[in-house]
Amino acid sequence: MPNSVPAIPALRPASQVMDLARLGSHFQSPLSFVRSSMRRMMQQRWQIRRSCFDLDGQGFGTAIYRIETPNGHYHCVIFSAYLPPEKRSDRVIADQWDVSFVLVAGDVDSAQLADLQRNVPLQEAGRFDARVLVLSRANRSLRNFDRFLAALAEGRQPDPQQLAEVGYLYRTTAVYGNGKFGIADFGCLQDNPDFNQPFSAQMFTVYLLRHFSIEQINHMARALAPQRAVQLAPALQRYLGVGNATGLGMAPFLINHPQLVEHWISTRETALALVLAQSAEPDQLARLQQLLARAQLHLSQSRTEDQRQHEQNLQTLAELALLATWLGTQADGAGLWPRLLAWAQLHTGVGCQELLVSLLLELYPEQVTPLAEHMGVNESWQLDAQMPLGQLRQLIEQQYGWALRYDFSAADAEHFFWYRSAEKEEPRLGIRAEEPGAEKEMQLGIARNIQQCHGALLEHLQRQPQALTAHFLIAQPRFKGAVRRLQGMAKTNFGEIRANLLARDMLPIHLLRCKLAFFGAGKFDPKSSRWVRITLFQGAPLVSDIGQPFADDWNFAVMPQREL
Amino acid sequence: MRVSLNEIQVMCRKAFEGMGFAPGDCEDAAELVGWLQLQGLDGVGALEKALRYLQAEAAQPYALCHEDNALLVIDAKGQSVLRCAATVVELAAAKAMRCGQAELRIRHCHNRLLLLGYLSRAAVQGLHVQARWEDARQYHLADFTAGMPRPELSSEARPRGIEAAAQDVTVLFTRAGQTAQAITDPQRTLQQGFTVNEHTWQRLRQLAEHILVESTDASRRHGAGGGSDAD
Repeated sequence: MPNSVPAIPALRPASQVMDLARLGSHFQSPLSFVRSSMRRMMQQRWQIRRSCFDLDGQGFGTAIYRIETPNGHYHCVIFSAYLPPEKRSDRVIADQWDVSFVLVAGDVDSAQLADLQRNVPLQEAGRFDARVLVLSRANRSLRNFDRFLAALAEGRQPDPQQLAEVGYLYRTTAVYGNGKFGIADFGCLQDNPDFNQPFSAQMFTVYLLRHFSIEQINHMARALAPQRAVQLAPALQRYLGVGNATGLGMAPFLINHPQLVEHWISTRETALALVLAQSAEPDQLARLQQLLARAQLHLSQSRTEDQRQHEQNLQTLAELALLATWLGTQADGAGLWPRLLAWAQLHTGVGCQELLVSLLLELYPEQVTPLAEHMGVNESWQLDAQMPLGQLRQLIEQQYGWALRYDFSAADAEHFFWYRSAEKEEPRLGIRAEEPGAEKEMQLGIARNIQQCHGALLEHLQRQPQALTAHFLIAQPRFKGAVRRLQGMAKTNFGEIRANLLARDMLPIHLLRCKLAFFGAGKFDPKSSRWVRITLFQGAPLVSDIGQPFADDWNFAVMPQREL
Repeated sequence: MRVSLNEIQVMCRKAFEGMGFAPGDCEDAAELVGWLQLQGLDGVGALEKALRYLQAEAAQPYALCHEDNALLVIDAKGQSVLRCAATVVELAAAKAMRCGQAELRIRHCHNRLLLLGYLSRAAVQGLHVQARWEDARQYHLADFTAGMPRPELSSEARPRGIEAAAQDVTVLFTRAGQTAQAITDPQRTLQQGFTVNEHTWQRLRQLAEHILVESTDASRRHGAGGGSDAD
C-alpha cells in the first residue's frame, strides 16, 4: 500500500509516562521554553541594545538593555553589587546577591529607575508594580568567574573544559513572574504575543543575563589589563549558558497545577506520536544518528558529584552506544521510529528512552515546533455537583487505581510531610515521626487524599446509595478539593504524577527535573535529593547572531574543539 | 498599598487555610475575593468585615434540611457563606439547568454579600440569578442577567415593627432563553493593580502565618538543603 498514510500511533499510556522516575529523567526538547523563546527571538529578529553600561572595573554598577520586538519594547535593568562571602547562598532564604535584575515593559524613566534601584536588590522584600514583568537575581560561579577573568586579562582564552564542568558565569536562584511582589500578573501578558507562553518572559530574562555576563566579564578583563586583555571567543560565548539552582519550591507547583502539567505532557506525547507516524527517510535517519552522537558527547562532558545521577548518566551513555549500533543495522523507511522506540523500551533504561524521545522530536520541526506555541492553558475547576456518588466511585476506581494501590498502613508510606517554613516560606520536607509541624502539612499527598476520599465515599454510599456528589460534600466538606480535582483530571490522560510523594523512598529531585526539562535545562547536577543545579541556554545563539540564518539546532551543546 | 491579583488570591488562600478552611473551600473563597476585586468591588474590604465571624466560628458541615427537584434548603448553622456555600450553589444551579428553575435557601448564614461571587459563576454559565436577603434596616436584591458576571443591586427600607430579620438568603436560579455577552477588560484592570487597606493586608498575613512551621537549625540544614552549597 504505497500511498497509504500511516495512522498516528496511540499515545504512550499514562501508567508509563507519568511514572515519577521517568518524569525525573526528561531532557530538553524542541518544545522546551528556552527553545521556543530562542526561535521567537531569531525569527522575529528582536533587537537587543545596551542603553546604559555604568559598571566599574570590578563589574559593579548598573546596566540597562533595550529590547525591541515587532509587538513592543522592553527594558532589562541589572544591578550588580559587591556580595560579602558569608551572604553567598543558592537558597531562597538568602537576602543578598551578586546581581539583581528586572524585565520592564515599555520605557524606564529616572523616577522608576530610582525606585527599581531601591527595590530590585531587596527581591522578595521589595515592592513593584505591573510595569515589571520579571524579577530575578543571580550569584556568580566564583570559580569560573575568577578563572575566566584571569585568563582574558592575560590575553588568552579560558579552558573550555571549565565550561563543560560548570557551564555558566552566573547562577539564578529564583526567577519570579505572575504577580509576585506586585509585578504584572500573567494575565497582563495573555494578549502579548512576545510573552504569552508559560515562563517565556522569565526565560527571555535569563537569556539577557547570559548576554550581560559576557559583556561584564569582557569589560572587567579590559579594566584589569587594558593593553593585554582579549574578549571571550564567540565559540566560548555560545558555549556559555546561565546556571540555575532549584529547590523544593518547584514540587508544589507541579502538584498544584495538574491541568498545566497535563497540557505539557500530552503535547509532548502528541508530538512523539506525530513523529512515530512518519516514514524514516534517509536524511532523517542520518540526522538522528548525528543527534545521537552529539547527545552522547554532551552527556560524556557533563559532570556531577551526585552518585545516582552519575550512574544514570553512565548507564545512558552505554545504552546510547548500543542504540546507535542497533540503529546502524536498520533500513530506513516506514515503521522504523516505532521499532526504534520499542527496541529502546526493551533494552534501555528510562534515561536513554526519554533522551531518545527528545531527539526524535528534533526530526520533524514542521510537525513539532508549532505545538510549542500553545503550551498555556486556562486553569479552572468545575465541580460536577450532580454526579451520582456511585459514578464518582467508579471514576476513582478506574482512573485512580494507581493511587488506591498504595498501602498507607505502612509507616514508610507516610514517612515525609511537606511544609512551608516560617523562614521565607521555603518549602521543606520533614520526617513525620520525628519533626514538629505535620499538622500544617501541605496537601501534596494526592494518592493518600484520594484513598481517604474513596473510603469516606464508600461509607456514605452504604448509608445513601442514591446520593449525589454534592450530598457527600455537604456532609464531608473536607473532600471537596480532592473530588473537584479528580472529576476534572479523570477526563484527561496525563497530569497526575503517579507517585506517593509522602513515601520514604520518594525522590523529590525527579519533580524538579521534570519541570526544569520543560524549561530547557541541561547538565543536571543534583546537590542532594532536594535541590539541583542546571544550565540554561548553553549553545544558544548570541545576541549578535540574531538576524543571521538560524537552524534551531543548538541543543546538547558540546565543548568547542576548534582553535579559539 | 497596591497589590496584584495573584497576590490577593495567594494571600487569601493561605489566610483561609490558616483559618482552617477545607481544601477546595480555600481556593473557592480566595477566587471569590479576587473576582470581587476584578469586578471593581472591594473584595478584600468585604473579607475584612467577614473576618470576625470567620475567626470566631468552629467549622462544621452545613445541614441539608430539604431537597426536591426544585428546592434546596440548607442550614449553615450560623457560619459564613465563605465556608462551603460554593457546593450548594453548584447543586442548586445544576437543578435549574436540568429543570428550568430551582430555589436555594441558606438559613442562619453570615457574609451574604460575599455569596454573590459564587452566584456570578452560575450567571456566567447562562442562568438568571436573583438573590434576596434582609438585615435590620433593609431588604436587598441582587439580580444577575444570564451571562453577566455583575448583578444589579437594589435595596429598600424595611417597615419598622415587624419581626427581626432572619439571617437567611434565598436565591432563585432560572434557565434563560438568551444569554447576554459581558464586555470586560480584565487586562486593563490587572495592569493597574488593586488598592488594599494595609491594615487588612497585615491581618491576612497574620492569618496566613498559621500555616507556617517554625524554622529550626535542623530543618534549615536538612528540610530543603543537604549536599554542598560550595560553588
